[in-house]
Amino acid sequence: MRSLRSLFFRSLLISAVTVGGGFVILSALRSYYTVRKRLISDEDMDEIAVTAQSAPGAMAINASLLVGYRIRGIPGALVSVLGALIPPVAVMSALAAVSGAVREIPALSGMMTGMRAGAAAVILDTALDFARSALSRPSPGTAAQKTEISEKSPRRSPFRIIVFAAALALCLFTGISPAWILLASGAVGIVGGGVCVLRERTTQGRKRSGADSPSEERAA
Amino acid sequence: MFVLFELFAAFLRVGALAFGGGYSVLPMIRETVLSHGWLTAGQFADVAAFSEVTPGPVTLNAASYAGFVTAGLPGAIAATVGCVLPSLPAVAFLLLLRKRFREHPLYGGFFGGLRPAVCALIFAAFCMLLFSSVFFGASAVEILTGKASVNAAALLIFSGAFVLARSKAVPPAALILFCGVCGAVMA
Repeated sequence: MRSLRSLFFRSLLISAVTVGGGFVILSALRSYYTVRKRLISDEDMDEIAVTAQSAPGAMAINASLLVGYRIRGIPGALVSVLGALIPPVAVMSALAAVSGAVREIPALSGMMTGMRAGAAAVILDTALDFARSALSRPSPGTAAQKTEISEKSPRRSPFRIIVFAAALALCLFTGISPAWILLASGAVGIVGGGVCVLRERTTQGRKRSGADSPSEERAA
Repeated sequence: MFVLFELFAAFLRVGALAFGGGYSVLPMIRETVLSHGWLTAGQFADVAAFSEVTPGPVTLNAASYAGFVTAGLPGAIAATVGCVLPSLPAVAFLLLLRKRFREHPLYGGFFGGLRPAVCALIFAAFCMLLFSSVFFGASAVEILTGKASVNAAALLIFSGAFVLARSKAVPPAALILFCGVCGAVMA
């Protein structure tokens, strides 16, 4: 199983059969490499999941890369990513090749409109789920870097809601690149973290032990 | 040749800056393909819908599709490789960073700070697909000022699909394919 060839074909197979990418790929990788083959420990897989999510770019690719790296180092990482790339490139190229003709046929054009409407519904559902955790204050003790979605009753953070509203308005009504919106929001978070560090220092200076709450809560 | 390089460079930027992954990358890809004239807004919406029912992450699917439409198979490969290339240094850097600073407030602050914007971009991706299907591709301003007309069939499909998606009873890919069938029948 540790050979580069089997790593390549496993990655190809997982990429070809998991529709939608992202979290689906993570669970497929976990069930194969952690549960079936016991090549990667549960904790390592958790670390891979968090790192793959935090890094820019497609999460499924980051995860394949990290799994390949854990098993066979840099060559393993490259081979694993190559395997994961081939199915989407092949399928989307084939679709692109035929889709010009598709638009001319009314029924197929209706099908595409239906699929867009369906995809809009699925994305709205995801957005509402994500908003529960993303627009709440991070739960005490776990700090903001925890990326898992907590099911516990979230407390709305007015600060985060303002950032959210500003980002959405900028994205829909201006031509500002979404990349800048993301980086600006991250910068605001860093400032929040900095404020937290300064306040902790002042509190420590006064020798008072305040409740240990995470960065953004104080910024908010 | 130059167009291959342009595809590579543009998607390299997407790959390097697309924090959040998944749906939140859609607005950035849209901006990229529209500003270069590689895809129309309608074609982009098709890619986003296709991407839900085909293998692979949406970022790669969009890169492959836009690349192929623009410059054939070499274009698809150039765009996809550009998209993936930043992953290697980014992931390596993050592994180091996490080893040392995972408990640091600035580290947590950055990734916590990204979350509201990532959430906003997912909502924006939803709006793009809604506008392109239900409002015949009108812009946000046109819809707010009442200048857009409504596609009743698409609105019906969207509403039904949203109820089903919220109930979590149907896998997303099956749901979207079913919506496609409904759209074809109603056309």
